Amino acid sequence: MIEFVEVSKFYPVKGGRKTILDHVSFRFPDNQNVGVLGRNGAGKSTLLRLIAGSELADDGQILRRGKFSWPLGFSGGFNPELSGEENLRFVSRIYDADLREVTEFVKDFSELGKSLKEPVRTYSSGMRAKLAFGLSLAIDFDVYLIDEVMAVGDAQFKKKSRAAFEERRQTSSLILVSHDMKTIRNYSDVIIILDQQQLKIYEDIDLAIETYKAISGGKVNGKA
Amino acid sequence: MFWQALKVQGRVIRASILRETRTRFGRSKLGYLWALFEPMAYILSLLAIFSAMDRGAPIAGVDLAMFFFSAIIPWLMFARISGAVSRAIKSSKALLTYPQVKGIDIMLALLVLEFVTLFLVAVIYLAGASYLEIFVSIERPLEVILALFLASLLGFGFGMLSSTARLYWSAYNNFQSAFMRVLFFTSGKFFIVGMLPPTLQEWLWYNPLLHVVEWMRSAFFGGFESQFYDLRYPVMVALVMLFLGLATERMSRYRLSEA
Repeated sequence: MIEFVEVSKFYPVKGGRKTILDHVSFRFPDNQNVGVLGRNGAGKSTLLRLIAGSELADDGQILRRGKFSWPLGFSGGFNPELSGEENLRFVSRIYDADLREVTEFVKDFSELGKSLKEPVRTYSSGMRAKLAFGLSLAIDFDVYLIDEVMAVGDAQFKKKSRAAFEERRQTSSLILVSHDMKTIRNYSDVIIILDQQQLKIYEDIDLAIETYKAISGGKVNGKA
Repeated sequence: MFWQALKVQGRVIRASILRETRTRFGRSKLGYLWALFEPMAYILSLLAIFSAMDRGAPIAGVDLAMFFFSAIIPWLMFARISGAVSRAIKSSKALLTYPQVKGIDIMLALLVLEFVTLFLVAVIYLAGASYLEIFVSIERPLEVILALFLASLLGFGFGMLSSTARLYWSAYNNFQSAFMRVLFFTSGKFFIVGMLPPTLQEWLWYNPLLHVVEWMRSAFFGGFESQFYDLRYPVMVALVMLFLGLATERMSRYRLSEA
C-alpha cells in the first residue's frame, strides 16, 4: 500500500526551482503492476525514489505499508571499490536477510560467476543491473521499484527475470518506469502518467500510451 | 515503531562499519600500515626538530616521544574523524539509494571505525613504549579515555558541519584545510600552554582542542597539572556543533540528490 497525501517535491535549479509534484494526493493501486510514463525530465525517477523513501518530499506525507525495494536502476546502490560479493553482503545486512542464502541465490541468478569477486567498478552496466536484480529478488520485497532496467542482458536473462517476477506475482508487484513501450505493455496492469506535476491513472493501457504519445510529441521508443 | 526504527538503524550502522572497514583496509595492506605508522611519522619528525634545536620535553621527567604522543593521539582522533565524516556523504552517496540508510548512519559508522582503529594503535604504541621503558603507567586512565572521547566528539561535530557546508558552498574545502592547519599548529603538540606568553594564551584559549590536549596531558602524566583548561568550553563547543550538525544533516537530506 502506498499513498501520497498532498505531496510536493521540487528541485532548486539555476534561477528558481523545478516542481516535480505539486500537492499530489494519490493512492497507488494495490497488488497490480504499475507502469509509470512521463516526459524526459518530468521526474519519474524522483517519483520512484519518493516511493522507496530514498528521498524525502518537500511537503505532504507518504504512507507506506509493506516492504518496498530500493529503486533498481543502472546507477547507484553499489560501492564501486568493493566487490559484487561485498556489496551483496552489505545489502543483506541492512535488510536483515540471510547472508548465505542471498549469496547463493545471487550467484545462481545473476550468472556473474567469478566476476562477483571483482570490484563493481569493473562491471558493465548490464552486469550491475544483473547484480541488483538478483539481489532484490533474493530479499523478497512486496513491491519492486524498477527504473528502466527491465530489459538487461541477453534474451535468456530477460526471460529469466520475467519468469522470476511472474512467479512472484501472487505476493509481489512492480512499479516500473520505462521509456520502452514494449516493456511497459509486457508488465503493466495499469499505467500512471506523470505530467504537469500531477499523477493520473489509466486502466486502459492503449489509451494511456496514446495519451503519453500526445504529451511527449509522438516520439516514443519501441513498438506501441 | 520507535524500537523497530532503532533496530533498523543499528543494523545499518553495523553493516556500514563492516563495509567501511573493507573500504579502508580491504584493498591493500597499506591502509593498515598507514593507520599504524601515521602517529609515528608525526612523533619522529617532531623529535627530529626538537633534537636539532637541542630541546627536551616541556614537562620535567617526561620522555619527549611520550610528550608528543599524548597530543598526537587526540589530534588524530579529531582530524581523522572530522575528515572521514565530512567526506561521508560524498563518498557513500551510492548507499543513500537504500531508504533505510541515512547520512548520519554512515557518519556514525566512520566515527566508530576511526575511534577504534586509533585507540588500538595507541594501545600498541603504549605497549611498545613500555617495552622501551619510556612509559610506565597512565596517571588517571579514565580521564584519558574521556579526553579521547571529547576529541572524537569535536571531530564528529566539525565533520558533520563540514559535510553540510560542502553541499552548499563549493569553496568550503579550501576553508576547511586552512582551518585544520591553524588547529594543527595551535593544539599543543609541541608546547604546553604554561610556557606561552599571556596574550598568546588568551588567543589560543578559543581552540577547544588545546583544552582537550592540556586535560589529556594532566591526566596522562603524574607530574603535570595544567591550570589552563576549562572543560566546559570544549564540551559546549562539541554540543553546539553536534546540535547544528544534526539539524543541518536533516536539512541537507533534501539536497542529497544533487550532491
